[in-house]
Amino acid sequence: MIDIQCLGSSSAGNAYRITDGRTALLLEAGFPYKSIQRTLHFRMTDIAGCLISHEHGDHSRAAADIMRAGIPVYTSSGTADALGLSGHRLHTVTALQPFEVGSWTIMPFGIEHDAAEPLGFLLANQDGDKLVFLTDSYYCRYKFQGLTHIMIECNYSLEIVNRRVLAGELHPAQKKRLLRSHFSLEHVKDFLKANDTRNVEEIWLLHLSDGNSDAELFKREIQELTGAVVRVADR
Amino acid sequence: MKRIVLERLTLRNFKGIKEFNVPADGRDVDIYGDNGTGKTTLFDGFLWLLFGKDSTNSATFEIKTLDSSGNVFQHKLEHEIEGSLLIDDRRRIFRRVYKEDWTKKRGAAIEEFTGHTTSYFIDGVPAKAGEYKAEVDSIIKEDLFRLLTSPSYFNEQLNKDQRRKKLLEVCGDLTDSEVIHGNKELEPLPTILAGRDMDSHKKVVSARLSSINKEIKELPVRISEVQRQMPDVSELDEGLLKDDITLLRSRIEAREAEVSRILSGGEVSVKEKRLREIETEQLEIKTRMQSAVLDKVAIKRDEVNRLHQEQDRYRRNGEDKQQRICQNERLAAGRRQEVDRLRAEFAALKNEVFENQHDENCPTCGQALPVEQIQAAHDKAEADFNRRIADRKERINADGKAAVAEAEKFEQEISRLQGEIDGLNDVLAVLQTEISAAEGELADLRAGVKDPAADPEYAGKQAESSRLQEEIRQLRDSSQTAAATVREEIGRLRREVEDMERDLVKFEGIRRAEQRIAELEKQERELAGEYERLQHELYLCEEFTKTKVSMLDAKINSKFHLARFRLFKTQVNGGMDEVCDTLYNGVPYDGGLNNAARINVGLDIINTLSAHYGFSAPIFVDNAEAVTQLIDTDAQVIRLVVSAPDKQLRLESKSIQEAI
Repeated sequence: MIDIQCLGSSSAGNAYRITDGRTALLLEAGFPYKSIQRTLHFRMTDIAGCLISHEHGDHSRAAADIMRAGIPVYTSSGTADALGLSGHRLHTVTALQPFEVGSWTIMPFGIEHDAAEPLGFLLANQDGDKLVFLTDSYYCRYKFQGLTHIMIECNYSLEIVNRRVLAGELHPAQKKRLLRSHFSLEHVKDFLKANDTRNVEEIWLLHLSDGNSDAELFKREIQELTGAVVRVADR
Repeated sequence: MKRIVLERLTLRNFKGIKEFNVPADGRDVDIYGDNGTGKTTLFDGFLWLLFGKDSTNSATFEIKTLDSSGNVFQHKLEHEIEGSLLIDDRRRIFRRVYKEDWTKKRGAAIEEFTGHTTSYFIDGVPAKAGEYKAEVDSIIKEDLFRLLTSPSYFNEQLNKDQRRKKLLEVCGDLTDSEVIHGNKELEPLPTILAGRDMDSHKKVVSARLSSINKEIKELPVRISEVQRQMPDVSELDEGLLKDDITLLRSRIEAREAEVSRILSGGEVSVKEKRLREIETEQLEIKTRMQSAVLDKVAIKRDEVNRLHQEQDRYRRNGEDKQQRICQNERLAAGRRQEVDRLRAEFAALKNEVFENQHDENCPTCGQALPVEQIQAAHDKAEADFNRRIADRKERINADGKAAVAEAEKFEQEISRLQGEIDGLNDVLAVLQTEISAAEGELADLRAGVKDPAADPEYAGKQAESSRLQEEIRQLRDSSQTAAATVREEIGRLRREVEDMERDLVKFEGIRRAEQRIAELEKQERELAGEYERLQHELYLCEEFTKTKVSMLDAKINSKFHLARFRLFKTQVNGGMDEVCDTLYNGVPYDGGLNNAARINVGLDIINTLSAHYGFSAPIFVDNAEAVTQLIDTDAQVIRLVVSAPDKQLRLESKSIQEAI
């Protein structure tokens, strides 16, 4: 049984602790180390490894401190270079080459984002749980089988964005960037339709934009689409 | 409330004041004077009277009046202060006198300075220093008295810890358990502290944190050092190396055995043994090649032999018979000679005539014998003679006949034997033909036996044999050289093995390095764990402090009218510093607060402290001109006011004013 704890999910910082009861992992480290530590009640030593999707500060801020705390960091070499990470706790991973951390088998895959070598992660454990973690991407070219947990960015709704551009609240250039770097509600729906969601127990919507999203609406629409438990990550 | 008021203070020869009297009479007094006229000296004098120290808490200040160049203006003066205090309406008069001692030694013309004496009087009665001090202490403790008599004392003379202590004394501290009860997160704290006080625990933790931090910083360096020192084995294969080493070792062993064999001559005997083996093998080859033919040869040879034996036998038989012929011929010839002799003898007998030649004399007596007798004898003799001849003729005839018969018998046997010999000769001639034929066949068979030298295997053996013989010869010649050569090879093999073992050791080195790295990583992980635990402890301590702050703040500040206190300061790194800053309207006492506010805040603090300790004492307010409105206080207030026109100290009190 996978337990997901959201430490924060917004442009201010992203971090999630997931555990299957055997091995606890940190997905992203986008907060100052101290605050991650405080949120986890100073139980960082329980964390067996930290996966980082890309080099943007809201995903990677504490990477170096986490390594200093003796926790291995797994990320692409592009991300590691961009962050200037090095040392024996750094494990560079390559898209589509699976690796193991404790009870997890993890398959990184390439995603589309304005970063050096961004990755998404597919995590499977010995209990047959399968979790996909996909954030900061405007498109996902892969389909996944037998997912039980989905953690996916649901940054904005195109409808809301268009409405705000018309109302002059949002600059068209911002809209353009948004469309080329983040996952929208519409993308999430397409993604869920394209994948086999029969076994999905939990869907987490991550990284909701402040102005361009509507948590209640997003949750309802995804519930209606999948019938799964839908949770919107707290900011 | 214990109340101490000043009734009168008299100074004589004290810090430049020749004589001054403050007749306060328990009322508030304002004292005016220009700078340097001695206002502060009044307060100094008051404190010196009671405690022997001035207002800056110094016991070594200059009491005597000095001239403009800093020398004592006049010696042999008595410097004294007398104060009359009403303590809860009971009058106590204290007097302290300080004077120089001058002694005139015997025979000396002038007195000589020998030191100072301080004399004490309580209510006019001389007292010893100890008694005096005890008396003053029984009225009020020095530190409390100072705190309650000077508005600046709390803020300027006490350090932050002393200030905190006082405030907490006044407001009543919170126990740790109260604070912990107020914040659920703090529950583990008592276990963590285990009876230590928080500050010392924090110090211990901080020290440990910084030392762990240093260690943690060093660990990656050490790990990368180990990684750098790892041998390069990219082109080596451990399994193959091990196999090669085993192979080479076995070769070395074989070579070593060879050396000892060579040296002990064993090699030669081995080769000789081999040589013998080769001979046997060659024989086998030879036998294998020739056995069939040789069998026939043997049979033929046997046959020839048998024929020869037969021939011999016949020949010997013939020879025997020939010998017997010879013997018979000899015997026959003997008989024939006997016959001839008998014939001759017979013939001779014919010629034999009787001759009387017999003796006429008696043989015995020799006398001539009678003639008859001689005739008779003659006749008899002649008869005898004839009969004897006849006998002899008869005997010779018989013997002759027997000899002829015997000779004939021998001659008959000779002819029989001759016949037999002729028969044998015929047989021999046949045998000779047979032998010739058999020998011809044997020669043919012998000629048919193959020469083994033509056989390649046999030739190989032969070659090996010659080689071995040559080797044996060489070995015998040069066993030392041979041993040296093999030893050289052993050396080369050993070097090869050493090289390989060096390579093999690299794998061991890698395993050790990997193990070391794992150890270091484990150590890092453990240190990180401890670091985090300590950080948590520190965090809890700070959280405790924060909780305590918010709980204390309200409690303390409610006790004061003007003064506010800041007990904790958040550091840039998020930590909390314990401080004790006095604030007034948000302005810190030593951070821009004006004089008037400082004095009033000081008075406010004195009011609260007085109320707490149940004690009031005369308050000396220096620089009182800065304040237009002093806040109310129950205590007697002596204002010291700078006033340029007043070149001499001037006193004003309510009653005096009222009197005016």
